Amino acid sequence: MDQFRRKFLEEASDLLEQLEKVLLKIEKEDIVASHVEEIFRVMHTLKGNSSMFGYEAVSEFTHYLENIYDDIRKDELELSSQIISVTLSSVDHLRSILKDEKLEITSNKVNHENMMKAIKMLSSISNDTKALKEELKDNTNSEGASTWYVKFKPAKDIHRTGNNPLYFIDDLSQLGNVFTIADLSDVPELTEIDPQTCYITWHNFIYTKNEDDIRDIFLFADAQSELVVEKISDKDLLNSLKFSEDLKETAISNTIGLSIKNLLDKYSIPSQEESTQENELARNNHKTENVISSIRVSSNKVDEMMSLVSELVTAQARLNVLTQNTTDSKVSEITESIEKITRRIRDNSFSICLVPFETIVVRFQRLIRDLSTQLNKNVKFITEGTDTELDKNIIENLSDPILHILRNCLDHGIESENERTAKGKQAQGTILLKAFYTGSNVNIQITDDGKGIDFTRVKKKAEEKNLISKEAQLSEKEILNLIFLPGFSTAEKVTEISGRGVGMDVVKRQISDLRGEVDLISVPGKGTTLTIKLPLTLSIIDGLLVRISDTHYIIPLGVIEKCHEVTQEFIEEAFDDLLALDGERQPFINLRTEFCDTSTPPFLQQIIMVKSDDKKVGLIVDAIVGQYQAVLKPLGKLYKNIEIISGASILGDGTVALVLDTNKIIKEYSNSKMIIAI
Amino acid sequence: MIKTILIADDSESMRDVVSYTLVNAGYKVLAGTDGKDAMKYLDGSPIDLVVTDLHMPNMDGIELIKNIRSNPTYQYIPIIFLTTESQQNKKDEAKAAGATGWIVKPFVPEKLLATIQKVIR
Repeated sequence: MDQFRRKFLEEASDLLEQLEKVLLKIEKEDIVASHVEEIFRVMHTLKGNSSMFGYEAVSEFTHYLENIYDDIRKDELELSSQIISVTLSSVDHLRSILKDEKLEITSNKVNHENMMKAIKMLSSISNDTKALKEELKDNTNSEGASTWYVKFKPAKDIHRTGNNPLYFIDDLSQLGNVFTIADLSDVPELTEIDPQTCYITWHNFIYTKNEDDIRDIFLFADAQSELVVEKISDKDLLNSLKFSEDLKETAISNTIGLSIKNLLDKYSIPSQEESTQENELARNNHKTENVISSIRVSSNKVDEMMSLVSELVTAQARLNVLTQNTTDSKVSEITESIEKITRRIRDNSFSICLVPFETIVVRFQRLIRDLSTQLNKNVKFITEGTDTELDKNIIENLSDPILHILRNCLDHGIESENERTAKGKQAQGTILLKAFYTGSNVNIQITDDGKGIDFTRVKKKAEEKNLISKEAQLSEKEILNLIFLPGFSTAEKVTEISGRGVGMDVVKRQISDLRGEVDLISVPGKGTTLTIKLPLTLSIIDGLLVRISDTHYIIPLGVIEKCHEVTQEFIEEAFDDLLALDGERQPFINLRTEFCDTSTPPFLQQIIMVKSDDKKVGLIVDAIVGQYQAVLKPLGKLYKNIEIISGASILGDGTVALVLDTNKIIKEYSNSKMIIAI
Repeated sequence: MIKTILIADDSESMRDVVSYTLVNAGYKVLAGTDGKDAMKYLDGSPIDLVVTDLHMPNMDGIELIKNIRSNPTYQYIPIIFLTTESQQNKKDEAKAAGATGWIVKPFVPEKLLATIQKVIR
């Protein structure tokens, strides 16, 4: 059973996410029957599965919740916002008790009791506790065995429900000594027999302990079947010679029914007859919803596959180099075909790692909902382009920074309702979260229509914190960028919401760890837009392969603006570390000098203009080899301090090319030298 | 002859547990992710028993039972439904649709096998 537990937990967390999504949908839109139905179904599955896998607390908890939603879908209870709130907090609670099934953590235990109270209050079901445990009936009977008369007259169409009445009689014999008489008097003439109809009645006499055990055997018999279980005697009549003889006589009688009656009258003690009840049918139509058919694969396996694919790409590149000059047409044919297949495998596995942005959006909706209530702000949260796909490794690390940004939007950006009306704005604030593709990048944009960022206050704050000098002349853009400096926080007092010591500098760092960029635009009084620009994937980058002496480097293609070919003389004539290019004076970094290469530079050299954070700089290299799709490999621990190298890639001939992190290069450079901002 | 059992459940972990139990007991198992998905196995090939959940998307258990009963090939095969409902009305509804019997969740593998043996030998 344990081997399925992990899967159960995964499934449970999916179910909870689904639940959260529906709940938030209900809150935003009108309550739709299909939503209630979906919530009910999730609860139902969760309840059933959790009890199967031994999560008693979860099962009990969801049982009550399920009851509530059962009442709602039967229109016996109205879905109030209170119920939704309680259900939402239940989602959180269930998440934590799924990790702590035995309620060993005190806070979980206390929480569980409180939540149970809240839910029981909402639940109108009275006979609920026994429902769960009904299955575990006490089947032990301390009394001794008795002789029972069991009459079983199956419904005529019993075969139609897939039952075989002979199995029942067979099972009965497992309980004890049994004597069965089959009454065939209802069987018609051969010509009139319908083979699908059951005409037989069985009269059984059995010596056994428990009536429940007998009834249990006929559990699946239809309500139309007749079942009589009667206690005749506390003694074992079947062992009595007289009774046995009477029985045998009855069995060969022409009127079995009547003979049985006489026999019972003779031996029986007073008894009561029970018949099963017939219930009215209730019909529930379940709304259908589309379900994507997919398989679940552990992310470790995907990661391993990706790493193998990158090995394959590298090996294939080497093969290409080896067979470049071959004259054997067969070899080059195979090489070409392997190249094609490799490319397809690479693209395919790359797409496997893509996850829609939607997967993390629920978290944001939840945050906005909870926070806006807490801060008493009226906010509409709109999401767009949630089907935009991103590498799963990026998605995983994206949720924290976005949560932080959204918190800031709500806490500092959106004004209170009164403030907004006073300014002539709509009382309800809007936060828009939008994801979209631009080239080989994915942009995530968070826009609010709040009060915007106060430039003078930001500047003052930066001066107070000695982040800039008082005399510094800064453009609006540069002032905005101050927000991303470590140790900057404009909140007058530390609030619980956004001033938790984690500043925008951390957000920026988290994003740049994902090789992404952050861009901030703010119009005072109108609102703020923050754009996160991310690569589609972390494992493969489009780069420009360049060379200095014998060493290869890769510069990410996305940051390159332009390439110039210049002579060594031109570079030597540079004045004040600035080169005149395109009629402008441009700063440059001679990578040859930076990497301490002392060999003689070639006559013609290349300047690659790269930009980062609105700054532009030329990188001088010996030669451009060409465009190259690099499989990024991390450098070992020993190199973790070398910030300007973000990784390495293995080239076709087996040599290593280092991938340059131009953002860091520019940053390091601009600390020592002046770089002109654009 | 090896008996074939078709199971229908939208919960993957449930399908896994049930198939694991049944396969170990020597049955051949076919599994559908919901009623609709399970229907694809009803193509005329022999099926000795159906074990289905009641609440499923796309096609619920009751609907599945009705569909099976209206198919002449499978008109009389036993159908057992899995349910957490201990309320009688749900059972009756399924029985009226033509179900043979039921198993109440949670169940232990032995219980599942015992119930199955009530209807197929």
